[in-house]
Formats: sequence, C-alpha cells, structure tokens
Amino acid sequence: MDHPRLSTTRRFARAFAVALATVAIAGCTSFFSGGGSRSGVSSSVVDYLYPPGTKFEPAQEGVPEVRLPARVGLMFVPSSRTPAGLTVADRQQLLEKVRDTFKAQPFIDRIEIVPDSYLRPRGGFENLEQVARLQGLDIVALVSYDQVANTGDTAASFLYWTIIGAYTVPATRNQVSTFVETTVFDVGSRTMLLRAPGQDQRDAGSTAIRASEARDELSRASFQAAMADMTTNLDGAILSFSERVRAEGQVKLVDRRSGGSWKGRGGGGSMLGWELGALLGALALLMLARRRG
Amino acid sequence: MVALAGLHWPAVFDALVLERDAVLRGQLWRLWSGHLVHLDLRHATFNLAALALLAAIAARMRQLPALLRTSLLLMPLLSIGLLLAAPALQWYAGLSGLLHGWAAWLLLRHGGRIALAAGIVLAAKLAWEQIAPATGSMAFPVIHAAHLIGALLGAGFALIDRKTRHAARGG
Repeated sequence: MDHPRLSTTRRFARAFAVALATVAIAGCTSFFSGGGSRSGVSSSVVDYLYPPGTKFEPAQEGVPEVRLPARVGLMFVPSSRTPAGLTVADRQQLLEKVRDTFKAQPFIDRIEIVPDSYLRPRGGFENLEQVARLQGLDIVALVSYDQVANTGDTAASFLYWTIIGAYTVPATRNQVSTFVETTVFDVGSRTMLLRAPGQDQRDAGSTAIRASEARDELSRASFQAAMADMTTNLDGAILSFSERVRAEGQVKLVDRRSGGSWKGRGGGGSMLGWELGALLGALALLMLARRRG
Repeated sequence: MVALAGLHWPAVFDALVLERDAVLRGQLWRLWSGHLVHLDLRHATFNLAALALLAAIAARMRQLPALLRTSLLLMPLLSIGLLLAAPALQWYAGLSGLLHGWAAWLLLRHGGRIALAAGIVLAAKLAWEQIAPATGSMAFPVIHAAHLIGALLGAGFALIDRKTRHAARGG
C-alpha cells in the first residue's frame, strides 16, 4: 500500500502532467523566445477534429476500408478570422487550384468545393460526418492555415500543431510566416489518408509591415505562395500514399463498383442496346436469305 | 459461367480481370480471362446477349469453329494492344472488345454488299466513339479503345485468313 503523502504527490504530478498536455494541445500556435509581438490568424485541423474534451474513438477495428473512386469534398477548416487581405474570391481560387491537383487522380469520382460555413468551429468528426452525408462525400480534404505577422523587435519562432505533431517555423522580425496544410480523411473510417504541408516566409521593411495596407498585401502574397507550395507537395503526397498502401497495407482500398480490391483507373467494354438490335436484325436477315436461297 | 462467378465472388473477379501490374508480374492468364469477367449484371447481360447473337450468326455462316480458334489469339493480342494504347489504364473487364473483333471478322468473311454496308456502320460507330466518347447508362467508364482495337484485330485476322486461303487455292 502507498504511503498517503507519496500518493498525494503522485496524484498532483499526474494532474500537473495532464494539465500541461491539455494546454500544449489546446493552443495550435505557440511562441518561443518571448518579447516579439505578433498578429496572426489560424485554423487548426487538430482543434477542429479533436476539440478539448474529446475522447479518441476509432470508428472501426482492423484495417479500415476506403471505397474508391471517391466523392471528395474540399474545404477550409473554419476559423473566426481569415488571413489579412485575402478575399472570398481568393480563397475560392486557391481551393480550385488544389481541386485541379486532385482532379487528375484516378481515385476521384467527383470533387467539389464545400463552403466552410457548413463546418462548425471545433465541430469534430460528428460535424464532418453531417457535412459528408449532406453532400454525399466519402473523403474530405481539409485545408488549415496559420499565419503570423511578426512585427516585434526580437525574433520569434512559431509552433504549429499539425495532425501528426508540432511543426516549428523559425522567424525573424518584420516577417510574415504562413503555414498551410491539406489533410485528407476518409469520413466513414475516420482514417487520415495523407497530408501535404506548404509554407512561406517573406520579409518586409521595418516600416512597411507596420502599415496595414502593406501588411495585408504581404499576408495575401504569403498565403498564396504557401498554398502553391502545398499544391506542389500534394502531388508527392498522393504518390507516396499510393506506394505506402501497396507496400504497407495500412488501409484496404475497395472498388465501390465491383466490391473487389481497388486497382486504379479502369473500366469495362460494353455493348449497347441498339447494337443488340442491329445484331438481331443481321441474324434475321441471314436466316431469311438462307430460307430463300 | 465465368462472367457470373466474377459477379458473385469479388475474389474471382480480382484473380481474372485484366490488370496491368499483375500481367507485368507474370499472371499471363489475365490476357484471356479479363474478357470473360464483368462489372455488374447489366454489363454481363448486354455482352452475353451480344455473344449469343454473334455466335448464332457465325453458326449460320458455318464459321463458328474457325471464329473460336481465332479468338484464342485475338483475346491476348487485344489485351496487349489495349495496355499499350492506353498507358493510364490499370485494368479492363468485359467481352465487348472481343465481340467487336468477332463482328469485323464475320463481316469480312461474309463479304457482299450487305456486309459492306454493315462494315461502314461499324466503322462510323467506332469513329464516333473516339470523337465523342459517351458512357451511356453504364455505371462505370466504358473503354472505347477496346472496341476499336478489337475490330481492327478481327479485320486483320479475317484478311490474313483470306490471303492464306487464296494462296492455298492458288498453290
């Protein structure tokens, strides 16, 4: 039996550890080396899918099955603020570029952009499943972002919590840093299929970044560059996903039409109704000709 | 029977479908068996009905044994041609490529004005499929290249056969 005082100390240590972990995970962005001032916006996929207090519950046991070709929804993770200078049209245009990267893939049946107003901040998988049911989606690609304008006198790095862990972006003063990430989930099995990050950092003159117009322009350019970087990485991530599935078999890809295993782009050769009619006519003519002959 | 077995048991379909990677790994039976499996009941019904009609026409022409012998070569050549002509295609299933080969072969073997008219209709249909490929009401992508390659191979076999027979008669 434990000594009562020792037990109290253990309980305190455990509570402290849990509190520390909660604080670390709850905030998607943190700063190192204080003293730098910042303004920024973020939308975190970790925050959205696993809001504080959510218990992790795998949706299915064993190897998850993903049905292909898939109906895919592409959307920004909801956030109360959008990056400075970025209009709704800009956001739409950026998503269209990501959509074009996916469109060429053989595992896509159709892909559509879903307005992020459909998603509830910190809605979790329940919210995602509602949207998927509403739109008839199998797979969702969530685009999250974190952008920081570092205007202080001292340099500061920022820490972004991605779905697979922390990502540190070193920064210097008078700099805009943008981190974006596309995370692709199979909704039915709640399985993460792949992720592709993109980042951009650009400097401004020490006076320019303090002017709001210049900062907006810089933020917009940085966001667009980070999205372009992510789109390039997305191609590689999709290729690597296909290789991983074949080599490691983390998920079972199932052809939604045949029920067999997914084999990539393919199809069938099929006769049509009018062709059967023409063949029937040809046979009738042949029989008639023989009878007459 | 193979078509129906492939519909009922996905494992049978998986083992027999013409799949590029599997053929490259040495599973050469797929060059033949890929034509026998189908994607759904409607696909199988339409193709098997066309097979029955073309077989009846061939039997009327007393050409069925020769056509079946030709098919043993036509099937793998059609598969190889399709894999070469469509590098992005990973898999293919269905009889219709072979059936287009049968139609072209029978038309050339029959000859005459009616066969010529039917041949023009077949050529126009194949050209239209290449210009404006339509999936029709099928629930899967229709691979029109298989029809074209099948018809070309069927016509090629019929012409070779005709020349061989002419040469034999002349000799």
